[in-house]
Amino acid sequence: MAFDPIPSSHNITELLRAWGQGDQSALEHLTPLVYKELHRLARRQMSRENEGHTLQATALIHEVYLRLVEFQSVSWQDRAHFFAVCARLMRRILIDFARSHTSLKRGGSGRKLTLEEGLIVSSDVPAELMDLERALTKLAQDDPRKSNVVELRFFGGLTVKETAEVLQISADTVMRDWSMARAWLLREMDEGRPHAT
Amino acid sequence: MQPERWRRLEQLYHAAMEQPEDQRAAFLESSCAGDLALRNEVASLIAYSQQDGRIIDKAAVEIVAAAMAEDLCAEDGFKTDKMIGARVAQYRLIEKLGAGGMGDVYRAVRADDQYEKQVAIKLVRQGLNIDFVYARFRNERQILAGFEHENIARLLDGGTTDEGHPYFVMELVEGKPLDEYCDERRLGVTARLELFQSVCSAVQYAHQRLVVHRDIKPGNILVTSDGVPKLLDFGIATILSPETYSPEADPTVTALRMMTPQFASPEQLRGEVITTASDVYSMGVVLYQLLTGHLPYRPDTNSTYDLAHAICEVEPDKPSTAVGRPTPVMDPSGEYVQLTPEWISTCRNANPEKLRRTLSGDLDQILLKALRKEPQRRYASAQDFADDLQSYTLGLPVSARRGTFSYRSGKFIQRNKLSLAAAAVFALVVLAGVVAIVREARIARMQQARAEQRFESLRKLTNSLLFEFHDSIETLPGSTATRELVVRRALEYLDQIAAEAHNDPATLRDLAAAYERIGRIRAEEGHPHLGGTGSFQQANELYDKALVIRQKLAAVAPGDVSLQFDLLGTMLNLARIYEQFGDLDRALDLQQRRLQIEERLQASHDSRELRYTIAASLIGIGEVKLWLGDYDSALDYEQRALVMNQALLDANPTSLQMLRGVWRSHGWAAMVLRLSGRYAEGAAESRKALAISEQLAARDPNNSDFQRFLIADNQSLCECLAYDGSFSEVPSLCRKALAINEDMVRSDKNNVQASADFANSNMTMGLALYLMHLPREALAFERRADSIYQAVAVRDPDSLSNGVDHSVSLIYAGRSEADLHQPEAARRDLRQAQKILEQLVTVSPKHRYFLNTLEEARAAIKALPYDTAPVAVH
Repeated sequence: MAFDPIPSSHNITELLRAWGQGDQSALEHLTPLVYKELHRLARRQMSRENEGHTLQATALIHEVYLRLVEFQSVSWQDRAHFFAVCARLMRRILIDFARSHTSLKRGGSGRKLTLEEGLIVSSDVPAELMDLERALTKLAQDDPRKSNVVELRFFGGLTVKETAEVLQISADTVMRDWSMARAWLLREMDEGRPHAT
Repeated sequence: MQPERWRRLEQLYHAAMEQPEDQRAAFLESSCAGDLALRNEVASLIAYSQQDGRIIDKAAVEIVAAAMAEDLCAEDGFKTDKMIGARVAQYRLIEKLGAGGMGDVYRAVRADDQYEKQVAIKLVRQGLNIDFVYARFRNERQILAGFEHENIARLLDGGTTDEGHPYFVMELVEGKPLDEYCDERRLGVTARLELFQSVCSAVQYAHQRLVVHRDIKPGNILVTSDGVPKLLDFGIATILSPETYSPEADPTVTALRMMTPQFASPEQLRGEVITTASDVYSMGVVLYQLLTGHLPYRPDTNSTYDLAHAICEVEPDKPSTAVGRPTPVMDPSGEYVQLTPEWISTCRNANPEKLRRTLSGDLDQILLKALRKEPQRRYASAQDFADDLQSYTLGLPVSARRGTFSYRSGKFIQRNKLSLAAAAVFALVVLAGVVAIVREARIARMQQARAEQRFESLRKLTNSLLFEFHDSIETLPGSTATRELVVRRALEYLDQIAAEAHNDPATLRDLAAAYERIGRIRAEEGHPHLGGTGSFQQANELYDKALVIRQKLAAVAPGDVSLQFDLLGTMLNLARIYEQFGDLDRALDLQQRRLQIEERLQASHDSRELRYTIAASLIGIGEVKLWLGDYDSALDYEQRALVMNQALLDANPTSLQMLRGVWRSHGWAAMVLRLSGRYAEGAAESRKALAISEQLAARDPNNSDFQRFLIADNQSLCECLAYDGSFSEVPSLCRKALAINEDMVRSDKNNVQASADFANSNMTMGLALYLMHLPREALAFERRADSIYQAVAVRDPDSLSNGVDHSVSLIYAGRSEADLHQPEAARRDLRQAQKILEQLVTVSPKHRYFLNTLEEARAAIKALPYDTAPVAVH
């Protein structure tokens, strides 16, 4: 582990702050850290699933945050702001992953496509994720708050209460926003596709 | 959407959701007040809100983690590999270098060594038949370990891990795949050809040692930083060929997994025999891609099926055409990019038009020739491929193009562009013709010299493979499959040699010996998978090929005694094959012609060897005459042979060969006498034979031939005495034969011959006991003989002699049963005997022994009481 150039929590906090303030280069440093955590989760999820139970999503993502940043050392006055930045970061990284994943899975000509890759039959979950992303971007034009609710809950993994805290609205409003946004997004995802019925 | 409308939509959605489900429709109807679009939109949102289990209901992180988990499973352990740090034999794995269809490759060091010499270890994943792999490996390692070629990464060691995974230890090559190396350095066509020719020489080197690569692709050709290309994985595909996969694995899928389809030849995709020509094809694909940046085919989709179809059915585009074709390909980050003519030519230090012109003509034709669908229309060897590329580089005519005058003069003009610029058209034409002819002759001579040299090494190699390798493993139990492989490969090479051999006597002689050798293997081995008389036909064809060559050689040099002896040997072997498979006329004809040649030769070149072969011919003629039922003549020949053999032995009393000659004569004389009913005389001859075989066995107790002689003589004597009615020695003789046989069967359970011998001993014992009026005891032995013969027949269905012996055991089983008042069982056994014999008579209609035995079976059936006569006739 001594060789692992893991930035300290402090640095991660700095990176997150920088990225939250629009410094795109911070993403380069953050992505591998998040990936590493995701991999760890993936591994654990594999073994848990083998044992017959899965982890709760919010528990999962909180663990990621906790491992990335020491909450105590967050010097930001605003815990809510931290969550918001984290959620956006997750959205960005997860969508990047899904994008690269779908293009890989679709294959190409030439030698990059080995036989084994060609034979992989997998669910098209990452592609669906991309559809959701497109729908969500569209939703943000009509109703930015609903889009935020979805970003925080779906990508950020926040609870209703945390989401309410971040957006400074009532938990009830979060629930109502979520319900409508969810229905609208599902419809948009289906209708936005060429093969929608 | 208008903000007001959006708000209205939201308001209605929530209001409707608060309504009980069955009242929502009515609620919307009244609330929307005729705004159908609004009503429909709210209704559709409500419908969507009812859906569950959609992607949004999980957390994104969970979805991505699941997708990652899937990836991790797929490439499990690539980065966090459990094997890192593990030990394989005396090596420790320190880093993963790559993963492929068969397994993973690691960098490793010797764990017990301070030198830290690094090697590459390929660990095969799973699904293999370990025993087979191990045997294959043991067989191949001798050849592979001896590979010394600058452009071949050496295979150092290999084996099986404790968990049963095969592994290979190879020279570690630090380099880049051939195509990447060339592109990175912007190498032009000439430099690429030069690298490729080194690869050809590596492939040629391996082919001369009868090793086919089977998986040539750019990823298997690494170029070191010094610019030396190294071919990896030689021999591995052979060791891990589809046959070594465990039976439960689907062979087609396994075969596909074992190769890289883009570089596989049509015959490989069809699962046909893979030869050196398959490697030539794959090299063609490699060069095609190296020069054009494209693969030769453009399948409609990326499916393996479409690709396979294209490889097998579609003619590839000319390289000069392909190079101008923009094609979408995926870059490493997964984005589609256009592979443009500009980019391709830039990588080749050229522009699109220049590259197109370089490729068009000779290189087009050379590549298309390497990529022919039919293996025989490709280059005959990697060397020929390289030679043609060399000719191209030097501006000489290439063989891939037809040698038309215009082509040749075209070449000439190109070569001599400058000096010809000033020449008159008239001079040009004349000169071109003359120069081309002269040059062609010189090239032909050059090529001939090289061809001969190449040929010579191939010939030697094939011979050593056949004779030394085959012999060394012949006695190893379980080596049949390997021998089969060796033989098959050797045959492919022999036919190739035969096609090129012209009239070189030394080559022809070796060739004939090799054909004959394989013929013998084919004739001796039981080949149940060939079915019917497959092994006979194969042996026959091979001996015929040998005979044609021998006759030609003997005719060209009638004074060369050794060539005459070669011919005589082949004739003898062929005669034996004919005899063994029942073609008695041909066998007799060959033996008689043999005797004529020998007697003619004796006039000028009398010798001990010649007399010995004459005696052998006499024995052979006697044998065939015996089977034809011409007993007097047969006996006459056997006795003449005996006189000659005895004289030879008297002159050379210590000669084992001569002693065996005398033994054989007594044995055949005994056989003739016994089958013609002269049992007492037969017994006397058998005793003489037995005395010799006892002497031989005492001299060399470990020689299994002599043990078989003992069995035969004991049995022969036993039968003669039993038929003659003098029973006192019979039981002890039979028991002796049985005891030796039991030992032999026990020591080699898989030996069909030993089993047949053992059955034969049981049959003889039963027969003797029957003649001694002990039917119950006789039946027990015949039953045992019957069951062993049945097992033997499965493994060696072609053997006529086993068939007739089996029928004899059934006849005596039947007769014993008849004596024991079991007519039903007797009829069943006798009918079975009759059926076998009728089959034998169909194969060999003049065989008197078969006919007599068939008569015997029919007579025994007739003699059965009609206690179960199906129809009562009044």
